[in-house]
Amino acid sequence: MPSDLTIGAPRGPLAALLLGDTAGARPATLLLLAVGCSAAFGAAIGSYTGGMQVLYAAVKMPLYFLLTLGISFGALHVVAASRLPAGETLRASAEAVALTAAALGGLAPVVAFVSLSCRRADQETYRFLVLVLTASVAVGGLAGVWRLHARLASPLLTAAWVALYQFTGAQMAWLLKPWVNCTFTSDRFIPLQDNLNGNFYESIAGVLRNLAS
Amino acid sequence: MAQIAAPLPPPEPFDSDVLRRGLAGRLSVVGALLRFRAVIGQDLASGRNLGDYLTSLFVATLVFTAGYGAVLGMFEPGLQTVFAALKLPVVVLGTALLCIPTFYVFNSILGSTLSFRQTVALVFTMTAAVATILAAFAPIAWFFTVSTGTEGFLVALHAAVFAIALAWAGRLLGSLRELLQAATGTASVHRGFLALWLLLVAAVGTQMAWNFRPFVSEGPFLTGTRSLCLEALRPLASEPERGGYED
Repeated sequence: MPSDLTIGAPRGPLAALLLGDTAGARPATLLLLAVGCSAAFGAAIGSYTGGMQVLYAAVKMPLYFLLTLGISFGALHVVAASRLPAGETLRASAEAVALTAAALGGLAPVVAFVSLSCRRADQETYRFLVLVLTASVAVGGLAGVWRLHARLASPLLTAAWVALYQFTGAQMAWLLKPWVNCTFTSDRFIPLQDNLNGNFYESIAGVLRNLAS
Repeated sequence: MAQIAAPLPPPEPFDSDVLRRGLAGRLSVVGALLRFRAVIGQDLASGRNLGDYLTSLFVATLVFTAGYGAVLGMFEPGLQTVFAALKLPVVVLGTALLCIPTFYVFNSILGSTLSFRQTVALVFTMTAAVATILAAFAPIAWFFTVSTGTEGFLVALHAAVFAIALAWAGRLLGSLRELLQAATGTASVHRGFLALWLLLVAAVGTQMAWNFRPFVSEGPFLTGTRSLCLEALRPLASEPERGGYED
């Protein structure tokens, strides 16, 4: 049966998203794809620690994408209001998020393999793993931005959306940490009490102050 | 001047229906990879006998890599020969299976209209090509294995054979890419992405082989230790820490 993402030849929702055939797509379908694909990537990250951390990270990664979109949506819409109605804003932003998640989902098997190969409780390999994860997220983000740029057809608007989403997303990632739990003492979902001490930007400022002193 | 010999007759054209005729039929896909790439490109593009291609390429990879694996393990005959024959297909097919989602997702984002099954078939042509080169070099590798006393030379020899196999498989993918493009009239595989993806395959394959080491010297089927192959190039200075850190 043709999916609601189909234009022309019948193809599944994921293939339609990857190819950009999303003109008639429901935002809910796109967000559902984002949840599935980002959960796969989350599980891949969590596989370094194993156990419950696989499940925790698989739950947290979709939360990260959806909550960041939910919180920043108002600002995204205001910035784009002169060009797009709210429905189109939601569709375009959901498509960018879903494509980012799909790209991460595509990398998930390789990331899981690297995570499972990394020596546990070893600083060097832990840093390597963080590097792999950062590179993966950067590649996924690039795919999302590329699609967003194609949809919005305005470099300025694209830059504004990316800046707003990332500004919120960085703090959301801080709040939902740990992503790569390397303590191996206990599995941790969201240690909110710890994470509410300080924030992402304060920690960056702290690092810069330390470098300067 | 009298003609000494008649010219060779042209080869019989390859028909993928032959892939259904038992093990020999399955393995005939290797001959097609060597001589009838245009037919394979046409069949992959149209989806003709795609299931048979998938099975045949998988079987060819399995059989030939197991054969070369046995040669690897003959340096320590006995259980190690069996272990290596079992491990090498896992390494080659496991690497391909891990890298297929990346290939499909990013190739589609870059505009390819290949379906997932076509993508899997394309990737399996790569593994079958690698396996074909390994099979071609197996007698030479065997000769050096039984006539060499030190492990170092053999490891270098096998590494060189694998490098040649991957390079040839990459070239084969490149030519199939052009054939698919000509057959469908649309982008099949992005050229730059293909090069990057082959680097990813080489990295994942190296790590996979590292995880399943040893192949040549005697050892268990799986060591069960987690480490990166990079550690072989640059031994880590730091001792494992008891504490932890998180991000």
